[in-house]
Order: sequence, then C-alpha cells, then structure tokens
Amino acid sequence: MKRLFAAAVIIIVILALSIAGYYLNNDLIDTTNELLSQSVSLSNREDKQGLIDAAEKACEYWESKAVPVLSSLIMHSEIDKISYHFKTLLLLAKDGNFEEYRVVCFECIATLEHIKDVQNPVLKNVLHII
Amino acid sequence: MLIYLLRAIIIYVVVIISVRLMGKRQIGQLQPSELVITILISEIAAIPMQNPEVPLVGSLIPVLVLVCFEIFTSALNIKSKKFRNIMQGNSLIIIRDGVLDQKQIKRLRFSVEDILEELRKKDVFDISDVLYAFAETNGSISCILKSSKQTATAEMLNIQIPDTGIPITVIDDGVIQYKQFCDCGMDINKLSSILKKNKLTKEEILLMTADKAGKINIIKKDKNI
Repeated sequence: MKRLFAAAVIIIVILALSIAGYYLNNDLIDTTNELLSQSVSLSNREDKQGLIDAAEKACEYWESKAVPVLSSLIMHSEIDKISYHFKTLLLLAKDGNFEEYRVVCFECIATLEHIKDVQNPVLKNVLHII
Repeated sequence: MLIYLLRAIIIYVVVIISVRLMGKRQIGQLQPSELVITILISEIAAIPMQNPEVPLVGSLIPVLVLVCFEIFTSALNIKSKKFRNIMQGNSLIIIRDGVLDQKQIKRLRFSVEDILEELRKKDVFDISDVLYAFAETNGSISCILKSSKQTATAEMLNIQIPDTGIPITVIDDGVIQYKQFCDCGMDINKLSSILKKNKLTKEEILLMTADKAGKINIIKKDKNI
C-alpha cells in the first residue's frame, strides 16, 4: 500500500511538473519572441542604438531566464543553435547591418516557434507525424 | 567529463530507487510485463548517460512513470483475476500422468527439448515419472512426480527428526552479530564460554555459526593471508 501511495504521489508530481513545464516553456518562448519582434521594428526604423539595447535585452532574457528552464526540456543542440543566433544578432546590431539582422531574427523566431509547436501535447507530436 | 559523472550518479540513484520501489518481486520472478519494464528502464537510463545533449528529465520521467505504472499494474493484478489473466496469462498443464499435452506445447511454442531441459534442471530425467507439469506464467516449468517416484520423506518413513533450525552467524569476520543471538539461543555468556573453551578471541574467528540444537561451527582466520 505504501508503494502504491508513493507511485500515485510520483505520478501526480510528474503530471503537475509536466503541465507547469509546458506553460512555462510557452511563456518563455512567447516573451523571447516578443522581445525579438520589438527589435525587428527598431531595425525597420534603422535605430542603431535602440536596436543594440533591444538585442542585448533579448539576449540577456534568453541566457538568464529561458536557457536554464528550456535546457531541461529540449535537446541541448537546439539551445546552442538559438544561443548562436542571439550572439550573431548582437554583432549585427552593433555593426548596424539591419537587413541581415532581420533575416537572422526571423530565423530565430521561427526556430523558437517550432520548438514551441513540437512541445504541444497533440496527437501529431505524440506520434511524431511529419 | 564532470557532466558525464554527475549525470551517471543521478541516473544511478534514480534507477536504484525505482527498482527498490518496484520491490523484491521484480528480482525474483520476472513476469512478462516486468521483463519489459526492466529492459525499458535499462535502455532509457542509458541514453542520457552516454549523450549529454539529451535532457536528463527526458530520461528520468519515463523511468519513474514506467515504475509507477508497473506498481499500479501489480496492484490491479492482486485485485482482479481477469486483469491478471490478461497481463500474465494462466499456468497451463503440459504433462499429465507422464504424457505430454502436445496441443498445449504447440500453443506455447515450446519444443520437447525445452521441456526436457527444464525437467532435467529439476533432476527429472524421465518424462513418464511426472504426474503433472505446469508451464508457469513466467515461462518456467514446475512439476510433481508420481508418488512412486517421489523422494521418501521422514514423514513417509515415520521418523522423528528434531528441528535444528538453520545455522545462524554469531561471529562474522571478528564481529559479533548480537541481533541474531535470539534466533539460535545464544547469549553473551554462552559465547564467552565457547570462545574460552576453544582458546580463541572473537578477532581470531572468520565465521562462527550456531543452530538451535547447539551445534557450533567455527572457522578460524588464516593468519598467513
């Protein structure tokens, strides 16, 4: 009976953590994408200093808030890929290369959206239907 | 390097806790579902240990979920006979009065050699000696011999044999095992007098056992080793 109780508790805890992890994952990706979208509008206005500040803000949020949580949920190679994008964005912002900035930024947003999509607990993802 | 070490330690701890949670049944008698769980756990646990790219949670959660569901299944097996039959199947009689039930053997996909091998492991060399043999749900075969072929017991021969219990370890590598004293009727005074009589100290003894009948066995430590 003790084992059964322990198993029930473990399942409940795992279920709670999984649900919380799912929402946290979505929240972190949405916020990161919002920060990136804001920086895209600054690059459209060709505001170099504003773009550097926005890119730094997005990069800091990604490194300090998103990475610690997401690295426990998704493959580390995906995290490294996005981190590389963020470093590239910072350099492009400092260089004032607005067009290239937008390209990398959209790529980064698309990758994050893809990660968010594949984490959705829908039949397509459960069965991994491509 | 340190990452591999830490991940291996974490996985080791979780797998050990999981196996302990499943209970001793898991080690002694593997039912089909338990065999599947054991293989799955070893496979899942190995992936993040070898590949630090894979999040640790991705392995620990499946291990814990499998163990929990195995516990739920075990509980349901006890509660419901129908469920048990679905999960484990039934024991089947494969030999009746020395005759193989060929229909059941075909159904179980056993070869005659498999059955003879299992019987030989139980010191049964002639199939005609078997009264009944069962194919158990875990794949093993158990059998009962015809009464004429069974080993004579003291009860059959009307002989009274005193119950001596089992030999209990009193001293293990120079250390007195106080906890087990009551199982063999030993006490510290009795032990002292035995040691005095044998002109030994506890440190000189590798193993000392005693049973309820008072039979003592002492193995001295080899001083040359």
